[in-house]
Amino acid sequence: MAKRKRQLSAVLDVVIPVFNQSHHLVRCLSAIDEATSVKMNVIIVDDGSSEDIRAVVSEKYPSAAYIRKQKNEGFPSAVQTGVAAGRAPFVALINSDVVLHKGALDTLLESFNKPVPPSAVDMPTSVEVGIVAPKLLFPSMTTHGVPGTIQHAGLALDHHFKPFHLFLGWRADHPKANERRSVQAVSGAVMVFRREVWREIKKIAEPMSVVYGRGTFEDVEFCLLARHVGYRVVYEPNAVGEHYVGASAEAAGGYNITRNYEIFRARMGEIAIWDAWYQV
Amino acid sequence: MKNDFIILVTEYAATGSGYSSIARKLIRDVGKLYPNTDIVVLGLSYKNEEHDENARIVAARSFSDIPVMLHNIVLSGAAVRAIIVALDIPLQVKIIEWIHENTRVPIKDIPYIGVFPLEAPPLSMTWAASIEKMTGVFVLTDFAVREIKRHGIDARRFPLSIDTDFWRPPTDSEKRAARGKFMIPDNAFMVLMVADNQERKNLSAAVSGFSKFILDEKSIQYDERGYVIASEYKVPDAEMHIVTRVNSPFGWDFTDLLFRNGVMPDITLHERGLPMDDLRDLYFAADVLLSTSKAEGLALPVLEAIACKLPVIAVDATATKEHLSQAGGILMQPSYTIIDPFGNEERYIVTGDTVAMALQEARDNLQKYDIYRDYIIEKSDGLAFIEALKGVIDGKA
Repeated sequence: MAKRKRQLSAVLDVVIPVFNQSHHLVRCLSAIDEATSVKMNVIIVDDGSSEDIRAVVSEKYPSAAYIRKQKNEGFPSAVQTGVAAGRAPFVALINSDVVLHKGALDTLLESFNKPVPPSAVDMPTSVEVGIVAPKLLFPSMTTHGVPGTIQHAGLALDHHFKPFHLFLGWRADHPKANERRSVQAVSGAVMVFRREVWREIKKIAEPMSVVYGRGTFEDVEFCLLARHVGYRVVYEPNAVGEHYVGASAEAAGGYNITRNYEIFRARMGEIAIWDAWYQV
Repeated sequence: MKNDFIILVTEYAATGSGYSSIARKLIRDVGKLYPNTDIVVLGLSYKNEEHDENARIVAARSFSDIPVMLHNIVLSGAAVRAIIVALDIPLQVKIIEWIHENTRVPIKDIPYIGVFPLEAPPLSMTWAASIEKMTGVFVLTDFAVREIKRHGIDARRFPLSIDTDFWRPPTDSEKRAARGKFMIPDNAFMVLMVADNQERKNLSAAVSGFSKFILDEKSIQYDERGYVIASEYKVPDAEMHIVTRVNSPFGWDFTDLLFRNGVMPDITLHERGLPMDDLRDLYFAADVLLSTSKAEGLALPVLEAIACKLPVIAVDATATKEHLSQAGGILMQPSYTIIDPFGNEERYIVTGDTVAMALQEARDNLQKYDIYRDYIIEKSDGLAFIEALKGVIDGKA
């Protein structure tokens, strides 16, 4: 395949942080072109893998930008690196253990301009849609949930401000899980956001903060900050993918959930709201 | 999102339980009464399982979460039309006292409707003082209505909500298939119990009574510990199936209990939480349902048995007395009564000897006991309840 030139007029930067688990990356990359028809740049950030990720990228997606970090610094840092490397007005953050269905990215991009029903979680200053995320399902080969059921349909916070997945394990076509809605947060497994959201957050805080180390809670914080600076976070059920959940955690050697939860509560306690009771 | 909310606080589990069936009925009835109102269920025991209710169901990990959740909902400015609490009286008391003490948010101005069982009379005056603060009171039995009215508090009956399409008499082939599923011989006399492994259910009397029923007393040999080590059968074709919490930290040690009474081969224990079809098949397979409970606020298994036209043996007191005196069955006279620390309520104790006699009567004269299934249907009539509920919520009670 001839190497394509990097798209300077790209609409979308697709940032894929990777740490080993190259077999997942192969699947992820195989689905990317079918997921969208817009001009895009794929930016792969190799977070210090011991596997030869470069070889995989050269073979499966030679037009992708490949950035190698010498040391494994964790998901948030890899995301920051990937976002900084792009210029497109929209950024799609995709975990390497996700396989998007055909047209999913197009649906997410269209979602930015569609009206969203008003929600009790909307901030008074909420105007534009800033972040959109798809419905993710458990794939056929997984031990983390029943295959074909919902893995992600938006996040809500319980009254201890602990985020949890709405409709986790429910059937994919359940009506409650297929309402397009404003949410407080979505998973960083797949999210598409306006680049200006990142810029606006940067004025007040570190987006995808490295204080969360290897990861978890940085995606929720990112969403809360986006809302704080005036954007809406939306769950778009018509865009679908499959998430081999657990692969990232396994590759990273586990996440320090307890520590990160305490950090999250301390940082976001003033702006987080208990929304579980009207999201379910 | 609709404009206002009705909050329901209750136990909500995916599998059938007393409060879950009450919750489902409340969701249905409130949804019909107020189609433009959001129903939010704060569900104890709810584990975020899939459901098709016309309500939002939020998991409450423990009872202590409930006041926090109520406080936060009202503090958010949400227009709450009513709070309906379907829980046991002690938990209702805690919630209503907390509401009246909470001055930070105006929760006590919101109509509070309590739905609860009274397991046995008398109603303690301490509990009555808290119940009096409720805007509306609905209880699960007629005797509970009478008992609460003795304290000058208006109470109404909450209608039964047994799914009579599901709980129904089996056909002959269904009965045979159910027996085959649990390997019960066609000619066996099968006694079913569906009871939690807790003190109030008096399971030791049930096991002792079953032992006296099937074993030839004269042939029993005991060891030095008092355990039955050898015996002959008086009734060789009987078996008992108990659906229960087999390993409860507060209940009986079944291994010891069954072994002590020499009925280890004759009693099968089923861990609670069976799929509903399997549970119903046990009802289909049974010849009689036995309840030795010292008191019952509703006696859901008894109602399910009546709906299946399965004869019931139960204690002549509280809810079981109320049901069987109208639907038919065998009522056992308690040998004595005590006052229980739970609300100073009475408890009615039957012994193993009484249970054995009742089982013998059931086996010998089963054909005499025709169950009046329409009792369930008559007590399910909800029109009066719906009108009363609307009156309370709309402030016209």
